[in-house]
Amino acid sequence: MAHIRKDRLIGSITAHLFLILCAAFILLPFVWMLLTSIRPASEVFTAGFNPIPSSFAGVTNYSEALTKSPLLQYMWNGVVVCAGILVVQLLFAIPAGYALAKLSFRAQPLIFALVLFGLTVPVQVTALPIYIALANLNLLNTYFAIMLPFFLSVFGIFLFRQFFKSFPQEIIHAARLDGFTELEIILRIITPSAVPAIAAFAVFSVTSHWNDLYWPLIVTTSADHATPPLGMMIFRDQETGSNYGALMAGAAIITAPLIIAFLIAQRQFVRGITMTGVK
Amino acid sequence: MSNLELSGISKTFGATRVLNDVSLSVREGEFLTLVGASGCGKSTVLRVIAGLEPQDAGTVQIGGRRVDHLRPKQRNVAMVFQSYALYPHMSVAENMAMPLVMQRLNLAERLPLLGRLMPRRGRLMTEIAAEVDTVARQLQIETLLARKPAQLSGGQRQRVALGRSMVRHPDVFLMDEPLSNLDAKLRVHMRTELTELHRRLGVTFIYVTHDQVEAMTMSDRVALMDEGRIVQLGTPAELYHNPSDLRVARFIGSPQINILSGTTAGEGVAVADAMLQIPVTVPRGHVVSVGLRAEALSLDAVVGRAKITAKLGHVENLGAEVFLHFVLPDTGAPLVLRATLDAYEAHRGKLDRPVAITVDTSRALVFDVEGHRVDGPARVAMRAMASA
Amino acid sequence: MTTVTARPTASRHAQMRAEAVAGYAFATPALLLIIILLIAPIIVVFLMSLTDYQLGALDWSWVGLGNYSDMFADRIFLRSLGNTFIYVAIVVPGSVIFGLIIAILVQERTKSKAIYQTIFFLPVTTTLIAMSVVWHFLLNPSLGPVTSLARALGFGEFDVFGDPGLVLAGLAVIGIWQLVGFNMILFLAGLTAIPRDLYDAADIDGADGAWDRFARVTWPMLGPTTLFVVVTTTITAFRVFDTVAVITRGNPMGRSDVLLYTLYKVGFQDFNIGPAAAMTIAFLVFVLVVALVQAFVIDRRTHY
Repeated sequence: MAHIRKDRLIGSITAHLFLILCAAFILLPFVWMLLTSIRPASEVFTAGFNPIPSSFAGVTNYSEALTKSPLLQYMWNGVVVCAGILVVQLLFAIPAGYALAKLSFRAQPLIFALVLFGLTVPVQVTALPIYIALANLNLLNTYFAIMLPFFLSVFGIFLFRQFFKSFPQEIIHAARLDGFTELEIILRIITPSAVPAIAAFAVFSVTSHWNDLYWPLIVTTSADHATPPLGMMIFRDQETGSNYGALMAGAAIITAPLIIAFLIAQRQFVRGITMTGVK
Repeated sequence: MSNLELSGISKTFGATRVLNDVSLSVREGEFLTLVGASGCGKSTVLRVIAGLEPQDAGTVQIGGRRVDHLRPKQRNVAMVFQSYALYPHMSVAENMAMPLVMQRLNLAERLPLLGRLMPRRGRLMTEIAAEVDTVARQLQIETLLARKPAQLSGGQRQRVALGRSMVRHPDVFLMDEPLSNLDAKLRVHMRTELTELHRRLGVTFIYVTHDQVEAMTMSDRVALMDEGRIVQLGTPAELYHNPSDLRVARFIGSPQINILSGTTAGEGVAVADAMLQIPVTVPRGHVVSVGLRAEALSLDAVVGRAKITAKLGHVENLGAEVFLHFVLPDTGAPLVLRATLDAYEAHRGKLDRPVAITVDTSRALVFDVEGHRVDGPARVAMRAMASA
Repeated sequence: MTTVTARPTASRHAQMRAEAVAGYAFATPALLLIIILLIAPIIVVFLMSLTDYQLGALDWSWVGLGNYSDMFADRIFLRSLGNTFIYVAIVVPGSVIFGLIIAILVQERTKSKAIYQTIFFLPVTTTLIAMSVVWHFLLNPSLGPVTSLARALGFGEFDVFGDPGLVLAGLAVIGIWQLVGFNMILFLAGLTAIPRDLYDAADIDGADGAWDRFARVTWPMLGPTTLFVVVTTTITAFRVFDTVAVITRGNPMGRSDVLLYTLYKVGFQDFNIGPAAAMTIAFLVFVLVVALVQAFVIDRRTHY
């Protein structure tokens, strides 16, 4: 018995050592970001690997980050864009998902095939024509332009179709017997039951569009509509190496909402983000 | 006048013929059971009646009126589903109220928030709540009204599903294996309750089950289905004593009917070492199947009755009665005999050797190779009268 | 009984009709979006790849497959394609192997399991752009702590993002940093699906060492998950853009030009629409090929 316990102990210690090493690598940028964000500007250049700031300059750095660049505007833009995208995606995807899962009509297999095809097409493929269309319509530098390609979420349609597919057919039959119209079945039966799927999809949608750079970079040139990642780039380009404290404070502010949300609702985040991987 | 009439209903799913020319006439207030193995089409019949699935051919009439063009909600039928199909996010009271809400409130009054502003809504909802309460009391679930389906036991969900179908006072109740998700004890209890409920409401019940005991104990009439057709329609007693088809004889009754292979001879049917004096419509020298219920066999010697020699295998003791499982010496075919405990005790001494089993020939059933009854038409008619 | 005369067909049945009406009503809006935002743009981008159209130009003409032949002769395109493959070749094995090892070790922890999971998943949720700025700073040759630590330990000077030989590796490290937690979660899901009985059986059969357990139970049972993780990671890694756009912009000497960054520059900075469209089509073809492989992998998985 004793040797088994000893083997286990050694195994457990090695495992912890390895995991702690890896975790340190993962946490390194987060820790350095936070430390630098409270470090006095004078010390940034001499810090080297001496991690602990000599004095607390957090107030200066964070207020500078907020005043020298419209960070709050970027964040607000992010909220508007993510909320707009999510609402439209749900409005289109839930009814379509229900129709594909539970109603039978002739075009259904064709539409589902298009959805499956769409799953494989990344936004970079459709970017060029959509950009040209927006440019011709004089719609660049608007919230609408940033949101447009994402109003369609074939992934959302697919996800809800899969979710509704496993919804008991008998309950829908019961609802039809009770006199529900199909629209009322969606509103009163299907949607309330889909709250977990909606939550997971919301996490997926919001994180991917809060963090997206490619498309906003193409259709926005002004700070008025820039989303957080784009704002971060603009901020970094202004701060040509002069004030890393404020830059790190800015990075901390921009990453904070999602990190806090993740720490609060870890389960939903893991589910929502890995959904793409386990379809 | 019949309350529900199906004529010539046929339906195919892809290449499978699910229903094949099903016709059925159900009397007002009747308890009719569709019974059969899974996949025989019995549930599809219910869904066609409810209008949930279209038939390829044939018509459905409810209360003398064609309903084929009507949506499910317009047919005024209620359905109790195998899984109960309760709305998971609604309370028991909301579940039960739903059919009435959908019936009596108009679209505007049903709107999620705005509906509350509508003038009539408050009064209607109070009325509905009162009716729900009445039904809940009848089913003794009035204390559960605030709960969600997930907080209920199987039996309680069953009652809520019943309640939801009762509130709308339908012309026909459709029940799709409503007891199959309950444990054995509760199932027996609910059988009694459903029969009682049917008596009290006096409304037509169409009941689907794969359990022949439910079919036999609850129904006024039973329709046995196989491969999309109704094989036989009759009272439980008719199906038991006078099956028209070997499939019916095999399906109905517990223990299962004994089927022995025999050959037609001049004066009847030769089975094992016995000659059963039964008039048959098959010429001599043909192979037939002879059905013998366990109670048509006896250990007591009766003068003038045919006897089959068999060796006792194992004994199933149920307390008041015993099932004796015999084996025929030549063919190894099994033969189950039902005896009272006393009879068994009386004969016990001689059972370690092959014994002569007395056959009540008047209760024997003879089927040809296609499974049709072939003991003389006069006998069939007589048995029909006896079982009626 | 009367004979049946009327034979209601499926389309005349009330419920079927209602379902079809509702089906079209609910699916048509989404279908319109699919046509406007997916199908039409793909057709348009293909047509544009056959032209010499420039944004804002008034006249243009068909050039056939000229853009494609130019593309395959273009040093910059080929270099960015090569760079992308090198990047993928580092990120995929790195993030898959580390994801697997971490998942196995984390799975066996009891009290600390949750905290490790949180830490490793953290980069997956965070804005990569902001963290790229942080990484850039961390590896800054004059200010960054990593380089000063290396200097102090006697490794000498190095400038990861300025060194043509190191830049792709540097970007790949960030790629692995971001993806390893995602892969860990997928592997954890695969690990939980392995029945405990199998390990008990392996114990009794004598395969009780850590390596034996891995080789005889874990690895074979994870086979389908692994294939799947490899494919998804490949797709993600192939689409690398953010780190390049923030940190290196293709420098130094084009050694970190990757496919999407080149596509972005050609299409949206130089507005050379025709060549950009041709690159888009090449990108789409690659993505579809991977998707076919993925479909095949998922197929294998269900037959496992």
